Amino acid sequence: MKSIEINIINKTYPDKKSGKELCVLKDFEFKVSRGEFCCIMGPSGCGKTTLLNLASGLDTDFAGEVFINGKTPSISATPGYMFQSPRLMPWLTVRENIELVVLENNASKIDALLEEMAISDFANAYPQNLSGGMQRRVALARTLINEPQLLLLDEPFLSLDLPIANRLRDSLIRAFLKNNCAVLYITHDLSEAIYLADKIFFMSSRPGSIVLEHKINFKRPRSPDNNKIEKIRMQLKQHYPKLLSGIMPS
Amino acid sequence: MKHYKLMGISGPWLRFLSSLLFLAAWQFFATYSNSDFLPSPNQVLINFVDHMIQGDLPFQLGITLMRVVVSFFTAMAIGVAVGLIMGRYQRWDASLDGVLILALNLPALVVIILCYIWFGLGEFAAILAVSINKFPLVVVNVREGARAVNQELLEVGSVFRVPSKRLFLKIFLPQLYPYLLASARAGLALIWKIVLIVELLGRSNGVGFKLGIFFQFFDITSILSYSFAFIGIVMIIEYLLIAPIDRRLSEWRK
Repeated sequence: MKSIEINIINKTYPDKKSGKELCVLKDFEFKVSRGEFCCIMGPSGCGKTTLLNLASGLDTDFAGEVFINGKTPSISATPGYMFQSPRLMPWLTVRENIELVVLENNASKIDALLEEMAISDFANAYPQNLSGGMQRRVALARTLINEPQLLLLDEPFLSLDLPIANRLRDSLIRAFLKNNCAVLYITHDLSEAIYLADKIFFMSSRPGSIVLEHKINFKRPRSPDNNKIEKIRMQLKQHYPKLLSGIMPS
Repeated sequence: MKHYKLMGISGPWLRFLSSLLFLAAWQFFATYSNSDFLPSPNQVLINFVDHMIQGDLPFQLGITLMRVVVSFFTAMAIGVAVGLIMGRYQRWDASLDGVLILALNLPALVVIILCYIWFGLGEFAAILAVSINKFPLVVVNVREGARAVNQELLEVGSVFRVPSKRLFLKIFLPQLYPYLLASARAGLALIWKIVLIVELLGRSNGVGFKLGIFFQFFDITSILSYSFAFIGIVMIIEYLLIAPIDRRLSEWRK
């Protein structure tokens, strides 16, 4: 049994302006095993976030099938989902924001996780008093607290400065290796994808489908400044010059 | 509350001074007119103490306060429930919107008269009349709040499988607090005024009933002392109950 099995015949949205149906995903199929870190890349608007919403069970209106560990998403175990924006409750403190989602048997792990994210000193602060980077750390802590079998991350470290982003990436990798979970990670940064992933899925522009599934043969632990990352990136660019625009050479 | 200063005088002092100025102006006009129609603050105070000690002011205040409290909670409970449903479900909103506009525009006096005719000159009719007058305003406020609830934050609760009770209390309800508080504040001010009219028209006790009697005797001093007594109670409720709740709930905005 695969950890994630997605087979979307099509997924449409009503277009508010024209009133017509807008097809976002079409003939979209992939499988991810447990212990696989998968990055998803593709042009803007190709349906990457929609894909995470389907996998998380937020969106159930589509033609096709989605299975998480053999169950439909809404009845599968709680995933960890880190949205593009932190989405913290402004009226709850940092600790309360994490307590909000915590399952009973993980409540004792909050302190250790706050420590790991270096936000222990801010446990009783309200999100609006934290910097953007801090808020993302809280959001990551909330995503990881229940040690989920499925991690969904939507450009989680966008616009963070490099040292913090690298530190959070390391925390994420540690959690991934420890829990042996399946990860879907959306990014626009090819180097980041190569640094993190076991496999990268490249998507076409809308309606999104997968144009290339590329395995990264690079043993962990990796270093973000390892030359191999740049080498793999150059190879990919040479082979498929328009890959990041979602176009494969025919 | 922000700390402000005017000509070097701080907030609490400003409030005290403006009250003093009001009393001084009142005293001046009372002395100047020297008429029974405008008793001085001093006369009103003596009259108040007199009613408190010898009269039945405490009893009448208690009766009126009880009616205010019961109508307030009835109107809030129904208003919040209907407002939430209308704010969250478009079909309910469309079906009930016409009735709501009708209810909003129904004159208070008409509701009171009809309730007394249909349900008799009793306590039930009185409370019902006051609640019917207030609840459409609560509905409008709460519906606005329910519409403004942030969908993205609700999604967080849904993705992380937050149990529905916790989701309601920790994610949904906090977004409604400002609207609920605004309703409560406006409601308190409106309800006690309507209660007085209801009492005047159809009850045999309460502040409104007494005001009617004082009116017949042109006893303006007593009318003022009764009014100020009730204004005092409403101010106490605001400062000791609503303001602390407001401070506690908006702590995170600081």
